[in-house]
Amino acid sequence: MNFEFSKKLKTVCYILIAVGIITVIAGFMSGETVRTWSNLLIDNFLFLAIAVFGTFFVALLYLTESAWGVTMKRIPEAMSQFLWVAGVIMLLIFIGGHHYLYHWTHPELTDPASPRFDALITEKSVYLNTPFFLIRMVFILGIWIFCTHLLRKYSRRQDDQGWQGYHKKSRFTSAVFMVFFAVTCVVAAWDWLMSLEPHWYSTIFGWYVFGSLWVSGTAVAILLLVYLKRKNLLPNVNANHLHDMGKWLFALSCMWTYLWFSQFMLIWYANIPEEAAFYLPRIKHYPELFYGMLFVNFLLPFLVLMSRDSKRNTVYLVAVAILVFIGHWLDFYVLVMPATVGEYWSIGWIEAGILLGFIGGFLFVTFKSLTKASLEVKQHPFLQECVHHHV
Amino acid sequence: MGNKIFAIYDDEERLIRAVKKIRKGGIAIHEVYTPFPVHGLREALGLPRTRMAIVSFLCSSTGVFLALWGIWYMMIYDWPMNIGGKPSFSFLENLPSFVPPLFEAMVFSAAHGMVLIFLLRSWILPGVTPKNPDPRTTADKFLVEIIEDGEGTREGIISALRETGAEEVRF
Repeated sequence: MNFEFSKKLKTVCYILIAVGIITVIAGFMSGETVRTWSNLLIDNFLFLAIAVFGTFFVALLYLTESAWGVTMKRIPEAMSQFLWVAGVIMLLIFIGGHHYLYHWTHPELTDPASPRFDALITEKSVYLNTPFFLIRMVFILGIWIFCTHLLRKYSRRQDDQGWQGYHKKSRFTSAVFMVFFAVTCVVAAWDWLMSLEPHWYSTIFGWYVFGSLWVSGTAVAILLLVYLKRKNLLPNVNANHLHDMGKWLFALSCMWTYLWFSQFMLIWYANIPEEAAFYLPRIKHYPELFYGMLFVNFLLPFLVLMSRDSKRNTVYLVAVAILVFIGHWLDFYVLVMPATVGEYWSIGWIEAGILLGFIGGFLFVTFKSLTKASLEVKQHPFLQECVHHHV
Repeated sequence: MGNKIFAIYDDEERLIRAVKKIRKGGIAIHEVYTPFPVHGLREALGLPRTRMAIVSFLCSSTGVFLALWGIWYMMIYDWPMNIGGKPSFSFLENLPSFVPPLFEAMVFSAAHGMVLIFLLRSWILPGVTPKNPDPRTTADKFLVEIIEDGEGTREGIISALRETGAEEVRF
């Protein structure tokens, strides 16, 4: 059964994309340059994370030889197709907005003659310099996109040709991807988010961003899954599969909180100025978001999804998935904004418009790739096991 | 209470098929003993879902609240402590340092409470005569226990059990 991308839905996507583009242009024209760049970075990173989650999740299913996710495999696969769009935008954001976003890119900081000379950034400039940064970005995105492309290609060919050798090829690609991803997702988090504050560092930061990536991707996958299920396009996905996705959402919310808290508590307890410099502006100027995030990202999913019945109920699942999605947008907002606009923040039309634009773009690419392959996986060694999955 | 009839099976798939067949035949199963949890047996036996999750929730809540009270009493009220160089003496402001022990107390209470309540509920305690009729069910055999209600049914039950593929039928 193929997904049909209706005219109505397409129009909605076009309108959302147009809203996003108009907001970006209006944002730059209205003089809110830094705020607009920051919003582009937040939303693009969020959707880049959601897209690369798709590849990560498919690779994880292959490597763990999981049967339960086979019938819904097309959804993370389609999500991952947004990766190249987000990758290109990421490059454009760095090329266009590096002086507004990344403090360390200013050349006078590493010039000993300049009054703005910064010894720490000069020390770090072996790693944090524009050419090397761009090389890393292209390399990381290149590998991610290449593995995504291969996994998608093998999966579709396996369905068309019925040759199970593609399963082995997918598994090999997944293993290669996973090894690279383990390193590169951490490097990406350092480069694209942690270097916003080049004086500060945290060793758990990469995993913390990876936690956000995983849980926000799971939330979006649940939303798409329920949407397609409601359209009766996934006859082989039932409450048992939803239950498993609900378990993921529950567990990953806890994992994200664990990582968030591990970073926060050590810095809070040690109280070393150079480390606390990261949390001080966030607690001082963003207290509602900083603490509110914990309710949305931890307490609500934890309490609501604790019971088995709510994990099997689409209404609860969708409500929590939407909350978690908003919560992780806030998470990236609180990561980026204090480093760029500082205390002069507000959530208004720029935030809403750019987020809507990215939602439109993401949905357009995802729905487009959902139409290209049958939603039902026809050839997979674990297909029957997945159909009879029972928890 | 009538006599007990035991049917022994050597495979869990066969056991589940047999349980379904026995219940369809109108014979009430009193108990099934297996060496490990058999997936799908609960549904086949028509038993309600386990309430262990509720026990877990209640135990862990108890643990968290006891730990909250204990930490507050010890660290804030009885002898105010300077935690992490921040002498605020306020429970809320020191909360980050209390989260790990709260979590530990929660896990401890949930784990111990669940084990104790499980043992009490199934009455597996030191000195209690075991209800398990055949020690082989702790190794590799599956046993279905049926309590005979009236006189004349014994032969019928035994032949029904043999039909379901029981390796051995005793009474």
